Amino acid sequence: MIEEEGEQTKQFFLDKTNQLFDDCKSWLFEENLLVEQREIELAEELTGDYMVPSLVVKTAAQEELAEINPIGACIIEAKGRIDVEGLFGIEHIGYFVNGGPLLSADRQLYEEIDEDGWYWVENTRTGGASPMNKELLLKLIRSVSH
Amino acid sequence: MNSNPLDAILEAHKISTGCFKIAQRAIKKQHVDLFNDAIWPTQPNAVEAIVQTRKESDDLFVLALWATFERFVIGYLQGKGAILQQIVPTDLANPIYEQFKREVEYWKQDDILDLLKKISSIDKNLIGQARTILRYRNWVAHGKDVHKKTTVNVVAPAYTYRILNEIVSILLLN
Repeated sequence: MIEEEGEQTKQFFLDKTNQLFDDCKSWLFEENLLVEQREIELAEELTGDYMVPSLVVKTAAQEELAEINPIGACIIEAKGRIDVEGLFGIEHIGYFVNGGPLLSADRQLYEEIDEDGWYWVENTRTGGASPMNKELLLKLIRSVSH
Repeated sequence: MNSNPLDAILEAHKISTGCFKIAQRAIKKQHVDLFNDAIWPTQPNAVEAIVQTRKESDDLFVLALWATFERFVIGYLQGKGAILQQIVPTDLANPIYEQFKREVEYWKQDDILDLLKKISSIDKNLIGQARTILRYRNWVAHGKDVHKKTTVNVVAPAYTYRILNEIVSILLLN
């Protein structure tokens, strides 16, 4: 039973990660940035050990700007987390469903979440959630690499 | 009068995150005049070491937020229990209150969350989320056993702050 739940959780996370990574690759390609795909291993109590794709973003001159790393499927308030990580910072993206975390039955923590998907969540006291798109990805890469 | 103690912790997190970034830039540009006698900023992996330190620091801020929340809630319960001092016979009132005040310090955090759930203005969703943060806090506090890797936050300190702050704000109104 737990094994089945772990497998479903992992598979859901892998599917959503691959969808986002497909988008990321085409957005970055449009900006003449290079993307290298690697594999990293994740270990979570529910899912066990498993391999996930990871992206390394570089300039045309091969300067590394950021890594886009899946962190896990078992996230307190989300169905998965991916980090955009560079030498000067880290930004977090979560896959939220059903409006994301609730403060009460009719009050969302992040009012901006109106459909299931990947959202960047600002790590601040009043930070909101923004749906992932090309402009946001480029902004996050800039933020962690400069 | 109680006041919200969590703001100061999150502000400290914001400042420390900014400091890490400034230090990383100084290292990247090798501003050796800023390093004084420290040798490690000149090492080739110094920036990566700060990246790792920042992750550790985030976990410690979750711990600090929970500890501060825990202290606030215990103080809140001790304040509510002060009414015990009014019971009769009066010579029992003070010893009972003193015993309550001592023992509440040792109540389990899970039991305290169960108690807070009885307050109608605190939603059970909120307590459920606080409970998952507590599990994460315990995992960090007990040495982050890799074989028992638990769930993590999307935004660890900020999310922890927002959930616990919501509970604190409700308690301050009651």
